[in-house]
Amino acid sequence: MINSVGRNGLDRPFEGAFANVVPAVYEIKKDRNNKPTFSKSLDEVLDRLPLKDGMTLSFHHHLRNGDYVLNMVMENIHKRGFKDIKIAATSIFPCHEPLVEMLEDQTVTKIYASYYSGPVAKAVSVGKCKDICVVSTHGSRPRAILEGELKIDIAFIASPAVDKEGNISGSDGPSSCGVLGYAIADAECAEHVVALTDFITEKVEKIEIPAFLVNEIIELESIGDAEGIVSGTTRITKDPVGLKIARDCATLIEHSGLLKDGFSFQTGAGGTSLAVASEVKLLMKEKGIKGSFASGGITGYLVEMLEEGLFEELYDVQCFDLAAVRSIKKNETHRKMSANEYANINNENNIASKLDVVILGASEIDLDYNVNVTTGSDGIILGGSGGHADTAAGAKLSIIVSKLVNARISCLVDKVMTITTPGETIDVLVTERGIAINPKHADLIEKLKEETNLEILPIEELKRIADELTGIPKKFESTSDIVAISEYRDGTVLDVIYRVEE
Amino acid sequence: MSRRSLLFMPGNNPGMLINADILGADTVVFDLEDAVALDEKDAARTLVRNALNTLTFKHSEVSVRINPIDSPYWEADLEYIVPAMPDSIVIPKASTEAVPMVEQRIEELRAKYNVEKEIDTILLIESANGIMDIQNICKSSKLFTGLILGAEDYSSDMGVERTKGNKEIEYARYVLATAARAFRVDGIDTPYTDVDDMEGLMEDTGFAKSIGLGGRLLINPRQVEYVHKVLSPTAEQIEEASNILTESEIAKKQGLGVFSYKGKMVDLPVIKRAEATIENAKKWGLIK
Amino acid sequence: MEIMKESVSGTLQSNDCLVRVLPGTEGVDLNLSSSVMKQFGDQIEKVIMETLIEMKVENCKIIVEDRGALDCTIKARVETAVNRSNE
Repeated sequence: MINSVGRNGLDRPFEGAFANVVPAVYEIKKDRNNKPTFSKSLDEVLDRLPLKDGMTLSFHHHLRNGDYVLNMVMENIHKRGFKDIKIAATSIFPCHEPLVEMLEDQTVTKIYASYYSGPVAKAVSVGKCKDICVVSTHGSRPRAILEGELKIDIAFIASPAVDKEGNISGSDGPSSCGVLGYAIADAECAEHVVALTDFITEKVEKIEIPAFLVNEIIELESIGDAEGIVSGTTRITKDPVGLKIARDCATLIEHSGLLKDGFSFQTGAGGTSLAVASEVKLLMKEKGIKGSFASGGITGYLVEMLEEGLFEELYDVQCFDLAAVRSIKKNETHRKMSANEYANINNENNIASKLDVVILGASEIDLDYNVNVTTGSDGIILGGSGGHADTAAGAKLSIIVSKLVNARISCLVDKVMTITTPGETIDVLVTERGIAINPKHADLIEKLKEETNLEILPIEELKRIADELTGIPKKFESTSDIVAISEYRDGTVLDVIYRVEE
Repeated sequence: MSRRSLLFMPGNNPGMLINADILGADTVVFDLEDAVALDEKDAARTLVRNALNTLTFKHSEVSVRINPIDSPYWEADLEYIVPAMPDSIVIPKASTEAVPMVEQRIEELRAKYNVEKEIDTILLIESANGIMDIQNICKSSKLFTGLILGAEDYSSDMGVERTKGNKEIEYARYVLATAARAFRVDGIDTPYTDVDDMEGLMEDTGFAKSIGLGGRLLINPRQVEYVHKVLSPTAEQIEEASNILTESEIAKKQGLGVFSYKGKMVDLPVIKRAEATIENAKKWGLIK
Repeated sequence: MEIMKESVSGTLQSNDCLVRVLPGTEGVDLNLSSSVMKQFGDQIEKVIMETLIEMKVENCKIIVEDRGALDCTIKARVETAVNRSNE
């Protein structure tokens, strides 16, 4: 069925960003007297779990590219000969390459994740997964789990620190990743919850998953490679084009009317996004503005802003660097949040909906402001929504920062290959050669033209400038076989992703 | 012509050439000289010519620094570049010999290729002799609209070390600033070489401004906004210039040659300066 | 123009391309690879061939490794490589 953005919506077409909001309060149905069992062998635990063909296993990505847990569990399941397993991971990283073989022999037949990168992403793109995979959003996943749409048989939780009672925290131990926000709905709803850890201590501070939610705790030698878990530091770009984009973006925020006391802000860890944060920081200092909160994946840069009193609180669903990991352990106002608290559309108090400004990237954006961060220019999956669609919809002003032209590829296209985030939720595109503002903000366009020297152009004009530089690219031809769907926050289908010839 | 910033870009780097126009500099200078290795001179002049011929530059004036006349490259540089119509050409190692030679060649090539557009020159003074002979060099030029101090070569010619305090080039800066004012062209200061020290850059540029230099050569795009902060007229200066022009209109209607503003006599040079301030402020986007 | 010897111009940096020309006998033998092959392969080939025609190069082997260079850059690199092969 064709959906409201003109794409194939299959049997549950997207109907608009807020067409299917059903406010919900979730109750945890688990026994509060439950106590977890401690053991030291994954094999022993898998022996007593009710494993079966076709079950859904969940994982989360807080250990990012340093994660050992998914591979460890799946290699064991593979050895045991189970088939038709569905994997609900929050993200798939290059380190998860062993899954490719399991897709080929149908040990795994479906993946549900918010972000795919590396060999598994490519394998899905070329059609190696039997069933249609799902690219969801960080907010959609907990919604689907909490509402029973996505049933998890066993949740395997990489747990950097576990105490003697079985309580779990992300902010301690050798594999410390700071926070476990993406794993919480899984712990609350899965039939069985298995925590894998390499650090058991007397008592953990800032408990994220209480012991009663956990059935099994397995103590192992190591659950992850610290090198791959968090980067040492995330850095501001030195690229003059990125810096120009960041400066213009900050000027736009300054004149948007939103930069005042109580300001709330989210930005990613990319070099240009950090440069925007740096410019915004200068403006806030200069004008003596005290913001309310910054949120999302947290970097040392936002930690500095918290410590300098520019924000009252940080809401952190994932730490990107060591500075963030250190901060969340000691600082009370650096708060942990679950993915449900972060971005679930049906959770009325979700943090994303309280944002003033979010800074986001794009690999493609089209004349209707639809954004693609899911597939690359060759059609292969290279990412996914993560929190893109969630925060774009939630924030008052969602700003895409992107180079207009880089190595002959223009980010502005007639129609994006895959819609990750619908154009109705995107407000501004800032590029090095001009800024396009969604025409629904006529007042903002007027205000910026009056108050600033920013080059505000119709998006069509900006595209013309790009085309003049690069030439018109040849139309990409995909097959008609669907390998994955791009799922919106409410569980509807925003777009489908087609198989690419190998 | 008024230039606050002249940003150098290596002539053989396509990634940088493509984005030259968006970096906010008043002038971008595509460099065929020091930023290009000897065995890449041919590649650089071909690339810069093609960039000038195909890319649109709407935010910055475009200039090209050619190789000096004591090198085997300068004539081929001009042969390639003049037909591609840059706004200006930077002549390195400017001397009473080099300047007329290069300018004559520019004019010949303009005629040969029917280039109607006028191409100015900017003279790079970078030797002890250049500073001593600056008045004659200026007089030898027909096309120049700016003077640049090249302090690295100048100080090596002087046999002195470059220091953070820049004491060793102070005399040269005063001379260049004075010559530029005397000939009514842009006085452009030498680059500030520590590209990570923005406070140092602003302080040093403040000194340059205080002695009459209105522009600066830059070697990193990040320096542009800091130099502009120092070298642009302030909001108060713009307002005062605007008021003077208003008063001048009134005085003219009343048939008065001179008038007073805030208790000071206003004569023609003051009015001219006010006009220039407003014109630049408009050009630089400081007022609408 | 005749290609007298093997010569190279350009780089493998992003936004640039590396062009290598060698003497040839029967027409132009082009070997092109590009980071934007799917989108611009045909256009890049056209620019290379046009530049060779403009320079009256009839026989050569030419190997181009492109990293997203714009047409004006590709043209400059081909021209420089051809001129160098003739020095």
